[in-house]
Parts: sequence; structure tokens; C-alpha cells
Amino acid sequence: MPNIFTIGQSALSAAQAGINTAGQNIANASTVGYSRQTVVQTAATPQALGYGFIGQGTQVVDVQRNYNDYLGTQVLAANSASSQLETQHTQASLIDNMLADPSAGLSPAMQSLFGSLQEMSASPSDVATRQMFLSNAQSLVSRFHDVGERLDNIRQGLNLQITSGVQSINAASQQLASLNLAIDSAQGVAGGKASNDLLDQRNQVLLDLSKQVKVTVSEQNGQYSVFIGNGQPLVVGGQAHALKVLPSPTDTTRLEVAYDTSGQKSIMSSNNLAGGILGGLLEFRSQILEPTQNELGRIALALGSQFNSINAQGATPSGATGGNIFSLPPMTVAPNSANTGTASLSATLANVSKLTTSDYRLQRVDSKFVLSRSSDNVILKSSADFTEIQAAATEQGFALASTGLMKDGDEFKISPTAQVASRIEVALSSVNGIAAAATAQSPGDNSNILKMLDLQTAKVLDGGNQSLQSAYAQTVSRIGSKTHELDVTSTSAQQILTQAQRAVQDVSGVNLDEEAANLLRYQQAYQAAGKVMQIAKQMFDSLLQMN
Amino acid sequence: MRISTNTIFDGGSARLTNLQSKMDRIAQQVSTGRRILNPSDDPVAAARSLQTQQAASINDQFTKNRLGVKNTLSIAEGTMGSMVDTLQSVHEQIINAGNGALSDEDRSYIANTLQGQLDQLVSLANSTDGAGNYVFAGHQTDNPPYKTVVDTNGVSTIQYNGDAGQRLVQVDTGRKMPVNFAGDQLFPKYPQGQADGKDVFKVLQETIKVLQTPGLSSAVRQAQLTSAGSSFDRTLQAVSDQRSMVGVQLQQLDSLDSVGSDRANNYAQTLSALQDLDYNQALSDLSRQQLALQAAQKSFQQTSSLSLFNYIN
Repeated sequence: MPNIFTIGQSALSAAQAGINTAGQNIANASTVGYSRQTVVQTAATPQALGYGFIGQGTQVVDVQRNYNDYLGTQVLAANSASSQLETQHTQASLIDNMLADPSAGLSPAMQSLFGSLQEMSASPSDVATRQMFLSNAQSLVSRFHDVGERLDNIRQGLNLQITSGVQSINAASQQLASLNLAIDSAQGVAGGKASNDLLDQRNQVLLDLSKQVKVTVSEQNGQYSVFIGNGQPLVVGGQAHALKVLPSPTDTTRLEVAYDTSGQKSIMSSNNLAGGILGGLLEFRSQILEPTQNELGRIALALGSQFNSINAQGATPSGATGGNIFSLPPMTVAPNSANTGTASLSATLANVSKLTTSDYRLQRVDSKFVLSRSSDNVILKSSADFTEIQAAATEQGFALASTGLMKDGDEFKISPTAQVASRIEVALSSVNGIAAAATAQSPGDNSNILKMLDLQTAKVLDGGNQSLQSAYAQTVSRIGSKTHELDVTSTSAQQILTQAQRAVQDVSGVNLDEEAANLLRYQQAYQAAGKVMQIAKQMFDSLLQMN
Repeated sequence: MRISTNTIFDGGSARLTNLQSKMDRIAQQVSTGRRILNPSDDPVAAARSLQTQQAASINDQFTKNRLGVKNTLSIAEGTMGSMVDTLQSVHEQIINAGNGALSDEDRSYIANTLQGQLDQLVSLANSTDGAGNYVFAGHQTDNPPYKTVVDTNGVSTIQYNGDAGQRLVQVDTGRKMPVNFAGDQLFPKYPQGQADGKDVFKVLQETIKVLQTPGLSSAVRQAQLTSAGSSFDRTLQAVSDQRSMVGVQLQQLDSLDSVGSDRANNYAQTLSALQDLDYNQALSDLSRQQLALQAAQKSFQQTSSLSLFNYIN
């Protein structure tokens, strides 16, 4: 026998569930990652009576989470892409801003140096003009140091950001693994029903992770597995895999991200770790920062070596051959810390005009030396004969010398220009070191100064295609173009992300007007159910009053 | 289509931020007067303005160089003028000394005058520029090029201690000018290139000696005076030639100056076109952005104030 009280009561509790859910939605309207929930209500199984079926009230079968997986995956991808470009843009803007002030760059200092040479050409033995040249050389060197140090600071900043990025990734992986477990056990307790709020939390952690690095996600039995790079698993079920930060084996100042497979740490390249803040940082470092350091280093190297070689062609006031005006650091050659051979390698400048802005790598593979250029990964020479390697290096503007033996697997990184801007110094200690004259005992002779003056416009770089000034202008324009490009691409990636987020919000976001309407709807349902109860009671009362 | 309340707020605030950052950019441009705030704003113009600045700075330097060169050349020209005057007056004295009616005593007076003129000529040849460099010494600018040396027999000779070096200063792109002279080219030895060649100083010393020596035959005296006369003619010619060459160079410097200042104007215009802000454009952009921002604020305020909760009591 259907019971009017049961029906009324089922209606009351359904209305309550509705009001609770609307309340929950309102409470979480601005909770990040929250998906709006709706009550799924069905009529209870009716009871068959002789004349037909009488309903037994209503029941709440589920509280559903409004979420679309497909849209969610799009947000993840857009998030990685956008944060990668935004990170690169932020970092590139640091250099762009640094080069922005035309009066603070290298250009004015270089112009002053050549200006004082002009003065010196008019009176080559005048101590005051020589002093002016020396102090202008000093301030040009300070400009190089300043720019070099600011780039070094950016580089050190990258190391910190890479470290904290990897920490965030590891923390997120841990959280994802725990949430996988929590969702599994909650589902067990609730008889297979999903725990909506835990699912939201997990998606939010995943979103945070995708901001750090590009991930691919697969779902199995309600558990997320998360992969990075070429499919290295970061999270599998309740298991999280930690990434490591290691100094590069050929450069301790350069931190790398490594994947740890049972104690075997393999460094992940920037091509491998695309996307997200981490991908952005790594790409910025290899594509923008390091080339810029090398370009400025090459200008410093060209300037210093050309001045030195011209000074050596002349005679100082005391009749001596001119010594170095600038002192240049030795070219950086770093052995891999895992080298097993006894070889030690050194590089010196061979030909400025052939010098590129790339770093190089010398490896020994299958008893052969392999020299490759890092900027485009071109193998320049592979030979068992080291002299052929030396010839190939000379074609790149530097001379290689080696002692000891390289074993298979050994590696050296050669950075001809990387450190020069930060480490060039003025070698002259006295104004009398400037060799203005072509021959000794000619105080009025300025012919060597005239040769130095030619350097201002001489095309000494890139096989005779670039002057010092045009090389610098090219660096400025390259950074400008790159920053501009990143501004445009990161803005459009941000728009794509906004679109994707909006699409998710359209499905999952709370609309307060809608919830207000739901509140009214369930309030009225509750009132009506109450009325049902009241009428049932009155029916019983009138039945009881009959005798 | 349903839209979430967050979207309304997020979208509204994103649009306002975007408009504000655009306004801020224009405000920065207006306050600095620069169209390009960062190289990324216009990478090509940024690189071109660096190149143009370098060209302008080199051009300015050439202007300064020309000023110095003009100064030195003017001193040289003036000195050469005095040399010409002195040489002419020496020449007159020598013609005068050939007068057969003169006594030995008269000739010794002339010799004294000539000695004074010789000293003056040496002093002119030892002139310095404003910076104290000897102008007629070749590269040996630190020491006076002409020195009187007395040998063990008490015979004094005037020696050239300079060299043939020429100091060039760049006065324009691809144009260099000498700012010093070699004394032995100004006062060459005749006959040229021979071991017994004599310069004007030597000839003058010999002439003075002849005029001071009493009782010489007039033929000996006349021979000395004739050869001295022709030596002076040639030296006068050499100095005058040099002087007119310097005059031509000074003229060239003036015309290079006007070319240089035209060029400086061009560079300034190019730089201005590359870097400077069009204020009219910028200010009209600014007020347009202001209007857009006000409209966006108004519409955000109106959209966000609509809520069903306003009507539930």
C-alpha cells in the first residue's frame, strides 16, 4: 500500500538535496577548478495495484559533476603552450629592456673609444689624449662586464627557476598519486559513485602541473597516468616518479633536468621537455640567452684581438713593440665530468672572421673523434685523425690542441665566445703602452692609430660581412624581433587558453542566477512536499475523529 | 548558451586590464617622446637607429677632427707666409750685397742682417702647433727639427733632425689630411739627391761667411751670391707651393664642413623619423583608449550588477 507520508518524505529529502547542491554550487562559485554539480532525480519504482501503478515518490540517484573531459584536455594543452611562450616572453623581455636604452648600451662606449682614437691621431704623443683613450677603453670594458653580468644574472635566475619548477612538478606528481589513491578508496566507500570534489581537485593539480611542463594523461579505471617528454611516466596510479636537477656534466653553472630510471640519471634535453614554464626556461636558455652571450662575447673577442694585433704592429713612445691593449680570457673548454681518458683539450683564437657564435662538442665515438656544432647540431668532422679535426676547428675560427688520450664516450664542450664579454679586461697599465707609431722613435707618427681607427667600420666578422657595430645592431634587432614574436605568439596562446577555459567554464562554471532559480525551485518543491505531509496528516486526523 | 558568473567577472577584468596596459604604453611613449620603447617595438628601426647613431657620431668626430686640422694648418700657413716674407727679404739683401760700390764694412752689416734673418728662418722652421708639437719635423714632433751644431773646429752647421714622416688625420670618410710637414721637403737640398747638396740654411751660412770675409775677390763673392740667389728662388718656390697647397686644403676643409653639417642634419632627421613619437597621433590614440576604457568600465559595472538575488527577499 503506497504511503502518502513516504511519498511526501521522499519529496522533502529530494528538495533538500537540491537545496544543498545549489548551496554547494553557490559556496564554490569562485573556487578554482570547481565543477558545478546537479542532482539527478528519478521517480521511485511504482507499486502495481489492481487498477494500475501507483508511484512511490521520488529518489535522488546521483549528484552529477558537470565536466567535459575533451574540453579539459584542451585546456591542459593550451595551458602548457601558453605558459611556455609567456615564460620565454618574460625572460626575453629582460634582455629586450636591457638593450632598450640607446644611451646605456655598448654602442656609445664603442663610439667614445674610437672618438678618443681620432683625437689621438691628431696628436699621438699627447699624454692627455692617450689617457682619454685608456679611460674610454676601461669604460667600454665596464659596459661589456655590465651587459655580461646582467646576462649571467639572468642565467643564474634560470637555475633557480628550473630548480623550483622541478620542485613544483615533483610536488604535483606526489599530489596526483595521492589523489589517485584517495579517489579510488572514496569510490569504494560510495559504492562506485565518484567523489566529485576529489575529481575537481585532481584536475586542478593536473592543470597546475601542465603549467609547469607539457604532460600527456591517460585514464585507466578512474586512475590518471601522467607522462612527460618522450613518454617518461611521472605518475602511474599511486606511484609518483621524481625528476632531478643536476649540473650539466660539461658546465657546472648550467642546471639540467634529469629523469631518474632506477638510479640511472639521464638528462632531458630542451626538445624533450617542451611546453610549460620549464620548457620555456630551457628553450629560452638555449635559443635566446646563450646565443646572446656568445654574440656579445664574439664582439668583445673581435674588438680585443684586433686591437691587440694592430698594437703589436707598431711601436710605443719608448720604441718597444706594442703589447696587448685588452686581455682576453682563454677560450672555455670543459671536459665532461664522466670522462675516463687522460685527454686535456685547449682552444685558442685562430681567425676572428670565421668565428661563429655557437658552442662546439668534441666526442670520441667508436675510436673516432667527432666535432659537432651545437647551434645546428651539424657534425663538422668525424675522423680517427685528430689533425683533420684540428683543420675542421680552424675553419670555425679556433685552433684545438690536445694532450693525453681520449677514450670512447669522452666528451669536451668548447665555448669560444661564451665568457669573453664578462671577462675581457684592459691590459694596458700605462698610456705609454699604446703603439701609435709604425716605427720606433717617431713621436709624431700616428699611422698605427689610423689602422686602429679602421676597425670602427671594418667588416671583421662573419667572413667579412659584419663590422663590430653591425654585429651589435644585429644582436639588438634579433632580440627585438624574437621578443616581439614571443609577445605576439604568447598573446595568441593566451587567447586560445582563455577560449578553452571559457568553454570549460560554460559547462562546469557556476552561474549564480541559475543557482538562485534552483534555490527557488527546490524551495517551492520543499513547500509543496510539506503541504503533502500536512494534507496526509489532516486525512489521518479526520479518520481518527470519526468515532 | 549558459555562461558562468566567473566568466563574466574574469572576462570583464581581463578586458579592463588589457585596455589599461595599452593606455599605459601610450602614456610612456608620450612621457619619453620615444616611439620605440624597447627594441621589440620595432626591431628593424632599433637596429637602423644604432647604425645611424654610429654614423652620426663618426660624422661629429670628423667635424671635431677638421677643427683641429684647420687650426694646425692655419698655423702652418701663417708660418709659411712669414717664411716667404723672410726669404724674399733675404733675397733682396743678397741682390743688394752684389752692388760693387759696397765696402767690406757695408757687406759685414748686410751679413749681420742676414744672420738675423737666418735665425728667424730657423725659428720659423721650429714652429709648434697649439699642442706643442713641431710642425716641420716629420714624425719627430718632440724636438726642434733644426739645430745648430758646432763641430770641433768651431764650424757651426744647421742640421735637420726631423724625418720625412707625414701624420694624417681623418677629416671625412675616406679622406685624410696631413697635419705636419717635413722640413727637408720645405727646404730641399740642391742639387737634389746628391751628397754635396745644400739647403737654404747652409747656403745662407756660407753667404754670410763670404760677406764677412774682407778682401775677397769680387768674382769669388759674385759666384757665391749668384748660386745663393738661385737657391733662394727654388726654396721660395718650394715654400710657396707648400703654402698654396695648404691653402687649398683649408678650402677643402670648409667645403667638407658644409657637407658634414648637411649630413649631420640628415642623420638627425633619420633618427627622429626612426625613434621619435608622433605626438598628435599618440594623443589622439590616448583619448580613444580612454573612451574605450570608460565604456568598458560602464558596461562591466552594468552587467555585473545584474543578479536574480537582488529580487529574492
